[in-house]
Amino acid sequence: VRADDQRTAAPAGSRVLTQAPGADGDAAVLRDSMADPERFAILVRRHAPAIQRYVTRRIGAEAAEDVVAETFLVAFRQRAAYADDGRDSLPWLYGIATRLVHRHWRSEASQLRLLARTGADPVTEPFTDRVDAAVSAGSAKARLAGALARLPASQRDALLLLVWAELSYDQIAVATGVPMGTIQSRISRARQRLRKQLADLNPATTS
Amino acid sequence: VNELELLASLRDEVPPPASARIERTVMTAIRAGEANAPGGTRRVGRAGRGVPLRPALAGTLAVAVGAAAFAGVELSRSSSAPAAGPGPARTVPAGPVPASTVPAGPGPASTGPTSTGPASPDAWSGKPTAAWPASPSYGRASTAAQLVDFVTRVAAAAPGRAPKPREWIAVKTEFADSSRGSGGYIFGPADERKISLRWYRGDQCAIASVPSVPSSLPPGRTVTGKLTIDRTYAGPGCGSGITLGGWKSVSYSYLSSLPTDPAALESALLAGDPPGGLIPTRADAIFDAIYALLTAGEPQGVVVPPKLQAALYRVLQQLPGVHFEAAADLAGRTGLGFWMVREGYLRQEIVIDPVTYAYMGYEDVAIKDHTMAGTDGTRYVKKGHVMGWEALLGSAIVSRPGQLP
Repeated sequence: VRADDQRTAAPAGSRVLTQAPGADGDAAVLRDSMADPERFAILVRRHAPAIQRYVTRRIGAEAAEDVVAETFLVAFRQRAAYADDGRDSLPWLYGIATRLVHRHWRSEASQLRLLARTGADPVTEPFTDRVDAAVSAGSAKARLAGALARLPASQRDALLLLVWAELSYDQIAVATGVPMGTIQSRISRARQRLRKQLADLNPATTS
Repeated sequence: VNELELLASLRDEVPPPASARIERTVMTAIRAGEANAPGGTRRVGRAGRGVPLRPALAGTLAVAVGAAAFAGVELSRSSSAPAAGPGPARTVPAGPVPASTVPAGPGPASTGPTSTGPASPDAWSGKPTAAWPASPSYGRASTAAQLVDFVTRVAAAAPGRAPKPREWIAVKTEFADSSRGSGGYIFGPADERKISLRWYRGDQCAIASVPSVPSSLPPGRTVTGKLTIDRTYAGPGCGSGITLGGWKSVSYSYLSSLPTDPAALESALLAGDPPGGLIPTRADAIFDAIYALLTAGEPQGVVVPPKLQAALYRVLQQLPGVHFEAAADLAGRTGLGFWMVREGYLRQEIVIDPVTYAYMGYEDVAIKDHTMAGTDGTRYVKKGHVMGWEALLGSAIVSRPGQLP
């Protein structure tokens, strides 16, 4: 695989867009992109960093790259059906990304289990010094990873959209296409499981 | 610390990534029409290409990648040196345009059959973006003198061989194109990256190709498509009278017969294309010939004998006006660059692999604003504009067209 980051700087004038991003809301950009697909790049530039960080935290940088690119390609295909409710499209994009992350379900769980067992995290390893990256096995974070690995997919999705993607309950409902009451109960049950897991380790952490 | 706060700190080290690469991947796929899977919205046209393109290879092919069909339109720089721009024709042969070639169409819809079944004799499948076997390394050169020293010794030990007339030279390149088109040079921003696979018959008189694919295609992805063999093709070494700019001939036997002494070799090169017109000086003419052989010849299946390759690097090392630097190619690989400024505005760089000493790629960049008045109109180029960019990712002798090493 090529390491794009090692490329020489992009030549001057290589930007595709001349319009100032931010001048338009996501819905307007999506609408314009029906006639001019180049406009879609605005949406990618605006939201790719957040989506990529979320997906990377779930399945690691390498797998994340394909998932994030595909997220936007799916969004591009579905853009005609995007509901223009005046808000930004981030929850919708998080929802697409979350569904695509499910393809990596096994590797997500096995990386979490590895973190729980050994304290070594394949996901953060590329971004940290070895020393810094070490989480001691059996620590609260390691236990938490183990608990996350055992959560049902629907609860893990809801919880990570809440905490990592920092979506609100109603945004999670939009992202996952599930009623808000269901989201509330999923998150509540997931939190109970995590609390129990951490309590088994150290009663002090449950407060 | 409650469980939500703890969870928020888990993997918090993951930094916010730069999105430029994702944006490039996504927009390249969208422009290629890959985003429009069945049930999608509509095909993305290449609107805005007002300039006729000159595809070097058949653009008649479409390829199925997974569920998404997209077309690859091959836009090679044909053989005309970008330095010449749209100006008077040089001695380079015109780009091969087989009779079956359809002008670069706007998109997959116009490119005929979308895929061929496995039973078709021309069906091809392979992994265009997968890496080829690594070439042997002989130690890393970091200076021009080291490069010349190492490559000369390797050439003496491994003399190479001519391809047999019925063997094929598989060539994989990555090239930059623009959403605004190309032809002779890249007209707009170099915002597209494609991988091209071609096979040149050993006698240079036939060519086979499959459609180019976006270089963002994952290396494990298998592409099925059509292998097109054009036996009317006449490459730079096919028959007498057909050659590459600056060269009397590029047949293996002729190239092997050239002297390796730098002064004698320079004289031989000047015989092919003496200074004049757009190549005002002796050094320009010599650089032009070397540039043509490496950047246009090798990617078109011309096999350069190792001894000549070594001698050419030695000439570059000593040539007035040629600079040496650590460089990178289009594919992001680090290399050693020889560059020269042509016509006062165009920086042409030849990038050499520092460990195999093979030709690796080229890059042409305008270093100042420039106006080109040609027979087909006047064009303006801005400082910093990348006019040509290609990486030779691999070339290997194989026994059949369509075969990968």
